Amino acid sequence: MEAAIRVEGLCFEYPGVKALQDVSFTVAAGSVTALVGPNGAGKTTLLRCLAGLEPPFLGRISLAGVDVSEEPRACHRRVGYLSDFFGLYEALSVRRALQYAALSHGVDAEQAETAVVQTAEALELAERLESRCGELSRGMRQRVAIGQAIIHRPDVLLLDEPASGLDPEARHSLAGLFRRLQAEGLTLVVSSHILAELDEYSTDMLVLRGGRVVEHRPLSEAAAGQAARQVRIALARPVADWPAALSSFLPAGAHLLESGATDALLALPGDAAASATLLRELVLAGLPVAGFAEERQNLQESYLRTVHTTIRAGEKK
Amino acid sequence: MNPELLRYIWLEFSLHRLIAMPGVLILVFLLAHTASAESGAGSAKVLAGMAIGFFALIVGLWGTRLAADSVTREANEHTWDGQRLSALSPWSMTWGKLFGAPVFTWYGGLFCLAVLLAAAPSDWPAGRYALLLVAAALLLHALGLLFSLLATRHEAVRERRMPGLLVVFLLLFGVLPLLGRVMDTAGSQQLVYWWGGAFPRLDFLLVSAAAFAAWAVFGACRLMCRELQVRTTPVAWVAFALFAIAYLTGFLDTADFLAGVERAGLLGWTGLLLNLGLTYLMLFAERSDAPLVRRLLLSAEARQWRRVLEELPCWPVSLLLAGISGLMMALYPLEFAGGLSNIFLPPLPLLLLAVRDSSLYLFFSFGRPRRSWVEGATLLYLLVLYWILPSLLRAMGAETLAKWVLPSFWERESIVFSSVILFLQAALAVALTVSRWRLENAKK
Repeated sequence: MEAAIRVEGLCFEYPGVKALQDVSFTVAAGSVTALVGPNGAGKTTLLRCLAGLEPPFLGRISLAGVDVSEEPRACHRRVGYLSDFFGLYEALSVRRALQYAALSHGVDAEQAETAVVQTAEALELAERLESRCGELSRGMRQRVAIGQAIIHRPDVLLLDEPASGLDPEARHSLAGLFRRLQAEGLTLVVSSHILAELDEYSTDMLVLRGGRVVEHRPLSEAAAGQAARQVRIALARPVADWPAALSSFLPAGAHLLESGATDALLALPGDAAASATLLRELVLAGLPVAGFAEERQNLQESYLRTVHTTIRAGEKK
Repeated sequence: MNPELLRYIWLEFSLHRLIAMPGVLILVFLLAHTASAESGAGSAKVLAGMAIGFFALIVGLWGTRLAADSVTREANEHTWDGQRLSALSPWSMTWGKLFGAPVFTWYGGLFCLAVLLAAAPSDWPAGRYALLLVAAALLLHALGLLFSLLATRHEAVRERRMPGLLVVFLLLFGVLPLLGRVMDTAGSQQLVYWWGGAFPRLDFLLVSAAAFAAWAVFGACRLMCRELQVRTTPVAWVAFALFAIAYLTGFLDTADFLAGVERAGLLGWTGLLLNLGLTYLMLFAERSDAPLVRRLLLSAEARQWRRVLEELPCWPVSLLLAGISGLMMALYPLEFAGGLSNIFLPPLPLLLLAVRDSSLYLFFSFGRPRRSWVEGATLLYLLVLYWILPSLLRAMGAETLAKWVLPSFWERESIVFSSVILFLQAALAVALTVSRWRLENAKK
């Protein structure tokens, strides 16, 4: 698939802090990438570098085919960016705020009004066009800010903590909006602490920790299907030397992810038939299997597992 | 229409404001006219004088404050990133903000200018007064925008909205009194001697204000380029420094106490003092931290010389120009005549002091991320080195020791000793800075 964003060896430094260190990844066009990581991981810095707001210290960024370091202004025309602390011109009406965004992003004066109406409709703001931005709810303000970022039809939309401060209804509505934008062909990179919300629309996960990429992988079921599925086995009672006993039945390519006294989580390659074979063998061997189910890993679990693995790897070193 | 200007018009003009500004001004001018007619004073003179005063207050004071807050306000209200990502060119953004931020004050100001042109007595050069007011206002607004752009990268200054206060301070204590002196009828008739020519004071000031306004707008545009990620080299900064040297030297060229001196020496003298001043000004106005130096070194290692120039702050450029000016001074030494014959300004000690002080700034900058802390520490140590320590040592009778801290380089007889001491101080400061640089790099 065509790459919308390609980052190679990106380093960025603030006085006294190395915010990004040798960051490399590729984002496919039309995908929604959840950018996750703890506070201070470098998420905001990465988004600002991608948007061409901060020149990278080292490395290359290509966004929609434009080299961001060499042509930052060309990049600005291809990208939409919503910062975590966005501001609106409180005294302007929604119509004028969007009109200004369109004109300042180079939309022709004749087409600006059409762009305003279309964007307002897409964001369900058509009823509020004459309201002042300062009078809107937090959720509505968020929509206006997103409208300002997409009114010039960018190829890539970068959003830093877009759902912070929103109520559950507004968050759900925002998720629907992101899915619609993705369906229209936009590539989205969304940074958020609220992983459950990212789970609703993300196709990929990029984990940053200490300024480095810890993991970058697809989350969608189709993409995940190519890799091992995760199966959780529950026992009716404890079994002596349970992890070793289970391991002796595992087919090639399968491995134990975690195990407790009466359960275990496996990475099992192959289709449903492979699961059926394993279950039959376990039961025939007399193991008290009480549960055998494929477990769809959500973003939060996936992220926490990645983080724990990274911490353990760091401790071993 | 420029979208930035259009946005300001939307924000600044309401029906109420459109009516209120001329309404209030009409009432004030009517009151002045009536009062002056009753008291027998010349109504025309009073009205024209009031028009000038109100223009200075509305466009000069209020407008400058608005221009100086234009970018810092965007940054404080988190709309600046959106503007930086717009498709507007740096020039469009500059003039959009220059005329847009104070657009409402221009509305009132144009009304004042109309009153000045209509009511001024026939012996007043009202047209040139109006042009001078416009040029001075543009200069102040451009300076305000320039300070605002500089402050955007300085969190402490930006959040306290200091550019606006600084410009208003300059206005109240510098520009307005000067305008007042020039605009009295007698003053405007006087001559200014510049590069051997004699020019009417009002005309000279008008052209000077227009020229410096053009430079200030150009400077603001170059800073806007940086904000919008459009790379520029310091060519414009060098051009401005050369213009300022030529402009200032023009006044000295005809001074009695400098009669008969070489023009090259005179240019070197002005160049040295001006560029040293600019070095210190820009050292504190621009960002010069470890990431920037590392970026410069990496570009230099990769022999990307254009990139080095694009990243280079202005203060090393000014220091280099001061060095070249010092060389000119050495080649064409100046001998002052008359009462100023005692003045002795050797270039080398002054340059060494600048090297020492800028190294001191970098020394603190490499160790601490907070810019306000770096600036505070540098200023404190400069105060100690220039004043507290030498004064204390002299008070204790340790005159020789005091000369090791601050040698009397302005005395002809101690020039060699002073140069050696200051060379040692500068070398020590550079060595400390380099060692801290290595230490900080080793930590990472």
